[in-house]
Amino acid sequence: MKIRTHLMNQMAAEAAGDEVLHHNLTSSGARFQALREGGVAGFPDFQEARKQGRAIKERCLADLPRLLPMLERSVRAAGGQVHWARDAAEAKAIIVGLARDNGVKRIVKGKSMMSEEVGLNQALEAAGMEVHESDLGEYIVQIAGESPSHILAPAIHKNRGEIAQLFVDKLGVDYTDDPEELTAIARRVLREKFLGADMGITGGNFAIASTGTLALFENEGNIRMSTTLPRIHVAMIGLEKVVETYQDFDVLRKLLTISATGQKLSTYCSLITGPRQDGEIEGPEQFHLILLNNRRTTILADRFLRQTLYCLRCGACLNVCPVYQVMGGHAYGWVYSGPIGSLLNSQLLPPGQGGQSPNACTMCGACAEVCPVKIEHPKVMLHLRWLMAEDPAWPTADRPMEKMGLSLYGWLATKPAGFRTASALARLLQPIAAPGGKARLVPPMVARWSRKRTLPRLRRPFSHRWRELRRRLDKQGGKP
Amino acid sequence: MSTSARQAILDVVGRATAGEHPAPAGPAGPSEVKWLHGPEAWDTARASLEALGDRLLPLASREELGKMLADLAAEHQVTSAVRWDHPLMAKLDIDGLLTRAGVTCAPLTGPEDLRGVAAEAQLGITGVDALVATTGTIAMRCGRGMERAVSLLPEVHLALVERGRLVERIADLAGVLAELRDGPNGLPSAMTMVTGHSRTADIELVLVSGVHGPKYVVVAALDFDLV
Repeated sequence: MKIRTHLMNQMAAEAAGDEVLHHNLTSSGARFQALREGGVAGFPDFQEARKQGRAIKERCLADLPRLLPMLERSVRAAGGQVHWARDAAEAKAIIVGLARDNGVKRIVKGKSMMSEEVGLNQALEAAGMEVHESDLGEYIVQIAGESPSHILAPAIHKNRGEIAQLFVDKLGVDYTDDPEELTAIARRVLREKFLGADMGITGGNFAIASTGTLALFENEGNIRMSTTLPRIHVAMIGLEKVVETYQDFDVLRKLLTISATGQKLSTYCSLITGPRQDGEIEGPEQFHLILLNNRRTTILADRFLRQTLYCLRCGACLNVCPVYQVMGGHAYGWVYSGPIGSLLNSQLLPPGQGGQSPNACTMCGACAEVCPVKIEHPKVMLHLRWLMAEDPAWPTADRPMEKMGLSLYGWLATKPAGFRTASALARLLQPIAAPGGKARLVPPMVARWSRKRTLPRLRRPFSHRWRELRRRLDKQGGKP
Repeated sequence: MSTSARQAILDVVGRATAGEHPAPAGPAGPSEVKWLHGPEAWDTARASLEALGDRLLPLASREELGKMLADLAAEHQVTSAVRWDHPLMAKLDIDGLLTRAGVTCAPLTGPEDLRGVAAEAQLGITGVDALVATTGTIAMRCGRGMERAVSLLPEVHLALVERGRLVERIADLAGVLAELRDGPNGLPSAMTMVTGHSRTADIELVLVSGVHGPKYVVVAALDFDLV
């Protein structure tokens, strides 16, 4: 997927002014939150399960050197094939190669964020294959030529009128903005694609190393179609999706579906162990599992940042995030959005290319409170900010003037007399230096900081104004 | 590419976790399945399915099953059905019951049926490995005669559940899977857990039924002795 993280400020500003988007995001956030809360209420051991879930992820990630080969052996024993990809380019080459070698013409896909990460659709289309997203939201986004804006509800940024017009334009159907009729149209169109597809491509929610089982969750049935009808099934997962046993899986799957939509189990859970067996007349003849690294081991190597890899992709942190609610998913500029998106984009892309989204965090902590595996997003954001400022691997690191300005501020903040004097001076100079809140004459050390910000009018501290204010209130009988 | 990528990834994973030796996962708990019996279990399952917008129909005899099939066929304008090729179907003579209701019914005979018979049938009839009472979840392993397409392609999915096939919680399915894993055939290539009918809320979060999979899930509770 094209990286547009450098455009975050501009895209966020546009998003903030988009009333349809604002309505969709706030109502979806509230809806998903209510669903999740209902699910949690019916789950008495939820807090205990979160601790267990985190412990399972900690253990399995630390044990990857043992679990990855175990998974490989188990998948092979079940008749499947395992492919290792260091980066997106290798993953694309493997999948395009498999499609080409098997004479694949038509591909149906289940929702996979990793496929967006890799840019898989473009690679397959460039190789001459027909690629159809089959999750309803993904399908809408695909025919619109856009990208998903929410992990669970990819087309949440579009309203029914837009989708209705899209279907008229792209599918040649009569206009209807009834979600039920629109869904029926998509069902009809995609059913044909499923029946005629040679290859199904999916992600995977978990891979159980001890048995070689891939677990897939969904509510629509498109993943079942993609893994049942085509003659080849390719599943691509990140290294971090591996757990050791069914018992590990059993704890995490509860946390995932409750946190995502409040469901004890999604409508469909498919546990796939290898291709069809002898004598069976359906199911893929070939099962390929792609294990993708794509910088995940860099995250793994940092014991603090490693928690980013615990993420189950439930989407709960997006739904409670005040920043996501205002700027939407696209403004993050790459595949992942919301609090976890800030963490993932910053670390899955090379240093400096993930954009400024960790700096957009308000540190409210709502994300960490809902995270099913207790990721502490705000702390990781702070750590990323520190990397941005200090780690020479980041192009943002070496900014002496900015650093000097902030150090000066830090020093002043601990010296009451100096701080008061400096504030008085700033109040005095503000009308000249920054008329109307827009910085004009500012020292270079705050120039970068003030470029994107509108400064409120500086006033004397409330404590200084209170005596005078109190006198006036008394005189006016308590009325301001 | 493959060998070198594999080795390169394992090397870097090894370096990233050097010195960490987590204890392997603890042993699995008891894998013996606790099957539920009695009317309370059926009632719980019925309430769970109804909460999902689906149905459980208690049946006290084969005759009641026949009447239920006729009603279901009339309700959904079913003219053709597809079913598992399973001993349960023969025992109940499902084909006979459906013929009387004016519905043709056949098992899948080959891959071509997936795009033919299965794709055109309005009703798909399966058995289950287990029905989870507290969630209404239907667990089905796949295999010859137990095709996944039967519970996926038609608009109505009818699952026949015998007595003693109920478990209490989803966690109890671990035992069902462990029995399969340790059995002569090992794990099936797919185990599908179905909790209600296919649904989506991708357009303005309006809940719509039957986007790709069945629009209706019906559980026939066979609360009688099969001969």
